Amino acid sequence: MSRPTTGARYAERYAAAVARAVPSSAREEVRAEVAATIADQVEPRLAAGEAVDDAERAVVEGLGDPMAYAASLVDRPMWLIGPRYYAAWVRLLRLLLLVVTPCVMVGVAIATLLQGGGIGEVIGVLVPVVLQSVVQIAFWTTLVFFILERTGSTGETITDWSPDHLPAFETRGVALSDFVATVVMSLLLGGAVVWDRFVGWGSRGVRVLSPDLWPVFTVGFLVILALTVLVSGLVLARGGWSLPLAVANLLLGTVTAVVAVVLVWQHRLLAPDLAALFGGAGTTVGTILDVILTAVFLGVLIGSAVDGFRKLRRAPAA
Amino acid sequence: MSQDEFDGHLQELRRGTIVLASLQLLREPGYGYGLLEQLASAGFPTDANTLYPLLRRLEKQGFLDSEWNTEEARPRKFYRTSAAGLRLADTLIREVAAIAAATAALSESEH
Repeated sequence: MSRPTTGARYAERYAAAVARAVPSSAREEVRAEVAATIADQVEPRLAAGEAVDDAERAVVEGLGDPMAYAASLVDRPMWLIGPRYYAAWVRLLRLLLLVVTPCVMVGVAIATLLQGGGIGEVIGVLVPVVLQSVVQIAFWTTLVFFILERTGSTGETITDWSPDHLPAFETRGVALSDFVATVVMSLLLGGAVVWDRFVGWGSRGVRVLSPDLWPVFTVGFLVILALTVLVSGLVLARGGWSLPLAVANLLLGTVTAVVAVVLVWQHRLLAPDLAALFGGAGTTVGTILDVILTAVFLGVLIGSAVDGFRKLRRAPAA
Repeated sequence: MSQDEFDGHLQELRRGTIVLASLQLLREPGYGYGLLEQLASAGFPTDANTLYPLLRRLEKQGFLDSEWNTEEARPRKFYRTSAAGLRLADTLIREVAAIAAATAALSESEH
């Protein structure tokens, strides 16, 4: 029985398309199988009086996308990352984005500032760098899992889950340790600021902070420290963070960090004669100090705010 | 309530029984399209793009043997249930019977 050749030739084209999508070792057999499959289904349609092209078209339409059909024939996954690796992929991607992106940002910002760039330039450099690092991290992580998915590795993944990974609920014990840490840090910081103003460091009584900060900024800082301790004490008293407390904590941190950073860049935070200690390198050291201080203030602010809100989210609803 | 809503679940439930029915029917050698019609008349309706990949998979796993028959006008790949396939079929049949009994017991205990 010979099949009339037509311009359309859906059956042959379909069989060839499926065969192209399978490994070459199985290609010829798959092509023959698919051709036989289609021919079997076309035959009764022809017997019912349908035209060859119409019959072949209907049959291959029923078989669906040749690539999907080929994938089902050779058991190849039809997804980028399947259920076996999805959780590991999400966890690793999130971790890398959270850790690597901020490191890149701080590094690039410091490098730009050290080369004499202004704030505007830093922002201009940061935006493409952040976009690039996010895209790169996402791409390479996904590529690794894409390959794992297809090489059929059943080995343990580095991020295999165990019950030990379950996030802990905020307990009173942890809140107590946070409170203690806040009190100790506040006492040390406040004491250091006062000591710096009235006594100075070392035998020569070196002052790190500018004397002009007294009284407004120094007292303001002490008040903020006291308020931070108060917030921490309220958290301890109610056994966990609440939204108002987290917002108050964020506000206190923001005010401190913004004021401190502005003072740094107006050269009003550090004592003017501090730079003189470093002799000829004073200007460079001053710039480096400015950059480091800015990074530290912003880092502490972001860290503390994120910590508060993260604990708020984990805390059992009050 | 439309039938479409149940389609996914029904398909899922039937999928395993297609394997069972194919293994049983292919005790006598058969080819894809012929099997498709046999399955339909035996009460296991399925479509070509489910059946062909399934036959291929069963063959790869050693539950079916295959052979190209070139004697007829058009070459066809004939499948036949292997010894391992027969054992699989027996196991599946026992399992389906157990599930049917368990399902019946479920609905009885409800009333």
